[in-house]
Amino acid sequence: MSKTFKRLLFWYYALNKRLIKKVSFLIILLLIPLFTIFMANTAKEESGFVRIALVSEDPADPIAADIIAKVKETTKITVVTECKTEREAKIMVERGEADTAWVLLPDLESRAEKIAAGEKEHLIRVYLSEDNTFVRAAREKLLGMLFPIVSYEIYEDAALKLPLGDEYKTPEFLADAYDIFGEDTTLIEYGYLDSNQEAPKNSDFITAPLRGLLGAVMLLCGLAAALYFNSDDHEGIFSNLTSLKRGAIYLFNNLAALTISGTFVSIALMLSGNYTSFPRESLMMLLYILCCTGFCTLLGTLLNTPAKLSVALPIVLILSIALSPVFFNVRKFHLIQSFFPLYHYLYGINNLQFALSLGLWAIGYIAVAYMIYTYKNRGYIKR
Amino acid sequence: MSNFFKYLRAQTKRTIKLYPAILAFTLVLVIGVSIILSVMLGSRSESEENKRIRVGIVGDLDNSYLDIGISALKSMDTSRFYIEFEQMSEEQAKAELKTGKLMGYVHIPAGFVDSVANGGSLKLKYIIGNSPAVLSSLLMQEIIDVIGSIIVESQCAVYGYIDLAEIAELEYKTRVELANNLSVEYIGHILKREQWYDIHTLGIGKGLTFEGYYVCAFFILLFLLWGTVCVNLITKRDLSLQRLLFSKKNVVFGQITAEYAPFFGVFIANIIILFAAAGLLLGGKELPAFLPDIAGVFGFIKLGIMLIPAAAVISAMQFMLYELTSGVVSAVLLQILSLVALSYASGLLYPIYSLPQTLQAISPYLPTGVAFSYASRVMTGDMNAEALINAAVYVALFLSVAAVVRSIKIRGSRI
Repeated sequence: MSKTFKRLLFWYYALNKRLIKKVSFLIILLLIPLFTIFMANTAKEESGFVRIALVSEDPADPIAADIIAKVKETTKITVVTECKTEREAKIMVERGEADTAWVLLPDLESRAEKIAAGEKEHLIRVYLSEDNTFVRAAREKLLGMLFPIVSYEIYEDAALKLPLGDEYKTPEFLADAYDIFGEDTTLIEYGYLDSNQEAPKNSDFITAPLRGLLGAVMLLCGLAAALYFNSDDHEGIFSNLTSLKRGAIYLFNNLAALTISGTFVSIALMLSGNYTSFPRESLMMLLYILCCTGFCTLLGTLLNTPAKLSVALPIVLILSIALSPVFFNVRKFHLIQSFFPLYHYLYGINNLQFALSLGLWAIGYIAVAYMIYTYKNRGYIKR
Repeated sequence: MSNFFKYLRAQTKRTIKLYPAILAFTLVLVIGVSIILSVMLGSRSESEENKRIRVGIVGDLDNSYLDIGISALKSMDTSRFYIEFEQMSEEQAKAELKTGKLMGYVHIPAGFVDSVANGGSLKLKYIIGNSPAVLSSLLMQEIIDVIGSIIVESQCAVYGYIDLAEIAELEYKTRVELANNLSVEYIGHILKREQWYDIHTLGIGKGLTFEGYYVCAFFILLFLLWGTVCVNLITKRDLSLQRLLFSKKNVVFGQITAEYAPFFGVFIANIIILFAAAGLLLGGKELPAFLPDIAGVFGFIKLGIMLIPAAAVISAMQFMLYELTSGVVSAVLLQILSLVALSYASGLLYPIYSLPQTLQAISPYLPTGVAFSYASRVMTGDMNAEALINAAVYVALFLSVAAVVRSIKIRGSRI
């Protein structure tokens, strides 16, 4: 093993050891799996963006019972409370305990027949506080459950007008003719762009931001390492080294923090079920670590005192979370978004083209950070 | 007592010296978070075109009743407000998906129509964009499931009807005409589906609208961020001055109060400046319905002043957290981690009612939950003494903990 490589390994080991001795850094590392376990566990509980108070005016109606059962199945965006009376459901909306109340009116089948015959008829009485996007989306979901009833009545109404023999107009024959798909009624499957991988259908909005938040924690580790290095640099701990070597140490210092935190994050993602495949995750994690190394080093170099960097740190972190698709997909400010490693990392998991951009940004950030650091510190004592 | 006022004066002077830098960073934060909030909620002046989620349709729709169904979906009165389906080539769909102009696209494979007519197994494929599973993409998956259901049922009806028409030995032309009529009838029913609902809008009452909720969350998030920017004001290299003061009978709680008062003063100054600026910008304009009834610059400043108790809870919590740490790095890390964790658990990022029961149970007792509850009462005009007392109790609790920690540090240190 060459002498230079041995020295690099030694520095990497020494910097890792130094970081692990910092209590605050250890706390962040420990929080990664704890946070993941907490989120994964709470995601198992019932949660949803739209709170629905549900009641049937005729509990004996089998169609109503079937719809209630379907509505109560866990969906990604709704939480359902079944009420005994319409008044109870309405009061829930008035009190703000529910966003909307759905009252299934009696005798849904004959109502659907009237709709099929072209008459105006209601199937559901809806109470709501405000008609926002999520409430409307929930109502569209209800449409998906009501539509089969109405659709069959429309079909039956039209079929009975055909010049068919009586043996072809029996309910069984008509139902059999309608059932062209058999057992398999799913017509749509999901996929990702530029990937042969099946998109996971079981993602929910509680754990959806997990990868983004863990990525932000990694960025925090990198910035924290940069802060520690800045403090030590100001105290002259590395003053016996040339600026070229110090620049390399600075990069290694941040790389050490990000490698450790990246390992913890990868394990956390595996445990949470948000892991795609080992080659893809490893590649993206490696590139993200490198890009964050350069990004944190550059920031630490430009804001070269602990005071300045500590004030900028929350701003950088918040902007990184807000402009990357962690909670919401902000479709503006593309140019500004592209400066943040987290943005490329989150997109790159599903589209390897972003892996290329992440790699290029990593090279760019590392090169620019190193050049600026060595230039700014070029007046130091040389061996 | 005179020592207390001397120390208070010294801390106040120090704060005033550092305030311009704090204010500069605060303004950067406010502008950044405001821009992001407005993009997320959608500007009121934004055109309907920009409010739509676009989904592409790719594939051969000729000789397909699917084409008619999708045309119906494109012109849905309700969907038009937020989902738009557009036919395009696969190259265009992929390109627009990569740039985020499309939420996704539905790919209709070749031979799909024949497969459906013969009860085959070919499926439509919904290609999701590059973006990870954020809320909007989860919402789209729900909608796509519904569309799938509508397409399945309508195709069952149309092709089942065609089979029956064949059994009835109708001519081909007649069968096609009847099937088309049935498809048109389906389109009509889909377009009129809102008539299936008897909708009664009860209004918000004393609650917050969706936008009002996030404006409240925005205020609390700002208070949290302001505290992190003050790291250089609060953190101390060592406690030698505080030990000296303690030796001169300057009690610990007095020190804490003298340090906290200017720190809290930063929050008050920020609130007044921010709301005065908002008043100047928005004072003469028609305000959104989710804001309380305020007029002019002084109306905005009055609203800001009413939010000061919420800011007091947050600032006291952050002061306590600063006291728990030593050194700039650990102080910043603890502030950031608590900001992220508390924001999530208190419903500042997702509405609290959408979170699991565990978090909903914890949230009212968290400092951010208390502050948010107070702020929402200010916004809805439903203020009561209980909210104010809760805030005061939390402030006293946090300052007491800070005093205890300071005392331990001073007494425990070696001379």
